[in-house]
Amino acid sequence: METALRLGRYALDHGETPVACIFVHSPTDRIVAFGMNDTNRSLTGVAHAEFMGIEQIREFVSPDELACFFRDVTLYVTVEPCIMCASALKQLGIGKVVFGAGNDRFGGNGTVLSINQDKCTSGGNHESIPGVLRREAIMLLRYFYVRSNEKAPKPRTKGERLLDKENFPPMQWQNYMDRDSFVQEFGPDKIACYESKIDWTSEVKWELIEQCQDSILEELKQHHYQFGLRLKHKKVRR
Amino acid sequence: MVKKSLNPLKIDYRRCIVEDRLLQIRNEKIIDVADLVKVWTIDIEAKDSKQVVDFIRRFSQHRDPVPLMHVKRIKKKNAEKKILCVLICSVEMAREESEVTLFLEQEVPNLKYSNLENTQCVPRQAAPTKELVVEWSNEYWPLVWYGNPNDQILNDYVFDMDLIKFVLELISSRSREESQNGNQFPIVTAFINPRDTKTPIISVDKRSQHDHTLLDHSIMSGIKLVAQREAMRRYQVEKGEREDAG
Repeated sequence: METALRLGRYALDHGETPVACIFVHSPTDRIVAFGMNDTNRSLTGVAHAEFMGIEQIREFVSPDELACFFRDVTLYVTVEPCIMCASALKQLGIGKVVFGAGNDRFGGNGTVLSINQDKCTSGGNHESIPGVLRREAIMLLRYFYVRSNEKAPKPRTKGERLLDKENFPPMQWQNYMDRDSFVQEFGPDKIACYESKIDWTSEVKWELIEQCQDSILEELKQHHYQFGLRLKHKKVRR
Repeated sequence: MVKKSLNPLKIDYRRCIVEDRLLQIRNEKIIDVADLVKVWTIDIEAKDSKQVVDFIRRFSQHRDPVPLMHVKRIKKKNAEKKILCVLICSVEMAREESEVTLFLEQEVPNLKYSNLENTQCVPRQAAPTKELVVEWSNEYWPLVWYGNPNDQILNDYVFDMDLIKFVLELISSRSREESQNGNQFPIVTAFINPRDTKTPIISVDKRSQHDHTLLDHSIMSGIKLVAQREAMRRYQVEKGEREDAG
C-alpha cells in the first residue's frame, strides 16, 4: 500500500486524481502490475487505476488464463474500487482487494454496494480489507481537491479552500467487515480501533505523500517487466 | 420548456414511454424517505430579500451541483421583527463557511446578515407526490410543487426521433450481422455527438473474440473510441488543421 500511495503522489503531481494501485502475485509476493488514474490525460472516464493494471496483466496473460491467474492476485488500491472496477475485478476472479479510503459516492466494496460479496453480479466473491493507510489516501485526495481539477466537467468554485491535515472522518469498519474478520486481519490488540472507528496505524506517513515520487514509475515498470520475464521462463505458475 | 398539451412528441406519462419506442429507465418505487443534503442559510431583514434573491439567481443557482429548484429559498423566521431565513446554496457547492462568506462579500457587499450556518437539511430531489411535498415541507424546509416532477422531466426531453430511429436501425442491423458471424454477444452501441450527428461511433461487444477478455463490452470499447476521437480533434485544433467547433 505504501508503494500504491507513492504512485498516487506521482499521479497528483501529473495532474491526475491521486488514486493508484498495485497488483501483487500472492504466491511469489511480487508486483505484477500497477495503475494510476488516467482520466484527465486520456479523456476517458473509465481509465481508472485498476483498468491500467488489468491492461498490463493482459500483456502477458492470455484471455483464457486470466481467471486462473487473477485468483492468486491481491490488489492494493488507495481508494475503494468504484462499482465499475469492483465488478470488473469480480468478473476476472481477483483473489483479494486491500484498500485505503472508502469511496463515498461510488464505492463497490462496501460503501455504496458490496459487489465483492453480493450474489446478483457475475464472478466469484472476494475478500476485501478496508482502511489500510486510509488517512494517507484521504490526504492525497485533499491535496488534489485543494488544487482543484480544472479539467472536471464542472470545476468547483475555488473560493478559499482550506487544507485540513488534522481531522479525518470516522472509519466505519462495520460497513466492510465484522469484528471477527477485523481481529483475524489486524490482530486482537487492535479491536479498540474497530469499536472507536479509528485507524489502527498511529501516525500518518507523511513522507509517502508529501514528497515527489518521480522515480516510482520506473521502479514499477521494472517490477512489471521482471514479472513478465519470470512468467515467460515459467518460474511462476500461470 | 413547452406546455404538456403543446408538446409535439407523443408521451405516455403513466408508462413513461416516448413516441411508442423510448422507455424511460427509472426507479419504479416511490421514494418516501427524503435523501437530504445540508444547506447554508443566513438570516436577513425582509427589506433585503430582493438583493439576496437576485444574488441566488445570478450566482449560486446555476453553480450549485445540487439543483434546488424544488425548494423555496426563503422562509419566515420571526414575523414580528420581519426576519427571514434564506437558503444560499448546498454544502456541495461550498464546503467551508469561509467560501460562503467570500461569495457574499464579493457579490452582495452591502448585505447585512447573521447566523450563517449549515445546520439545515433539505431534500436533494423534488418530492414525487403532493402529499410528500406537504410532509417534507413540514419536516425539513418549505418546498414547491410544480406537478409530478417526472412528468416535467419527460416533457422537457428533446428528441430527434428521425435520428434516433435511424441509429436504432443501424445498430440493429449491425447486431444481426454480428450474430450471423458467430459473435456470442451481438451487442452494438452507438455514440452520437449532438454537434456531429452524421458520424456516429459504433462499437461492438468483443467478449467472444479470441484475443479479448470478458471486460470488452461494447460500451466500454465505445467510451475509449469517443476519447480517442476527441483527443484527435484537440490535436488537430492545436495544430491548426481544423476549426475549434467545441
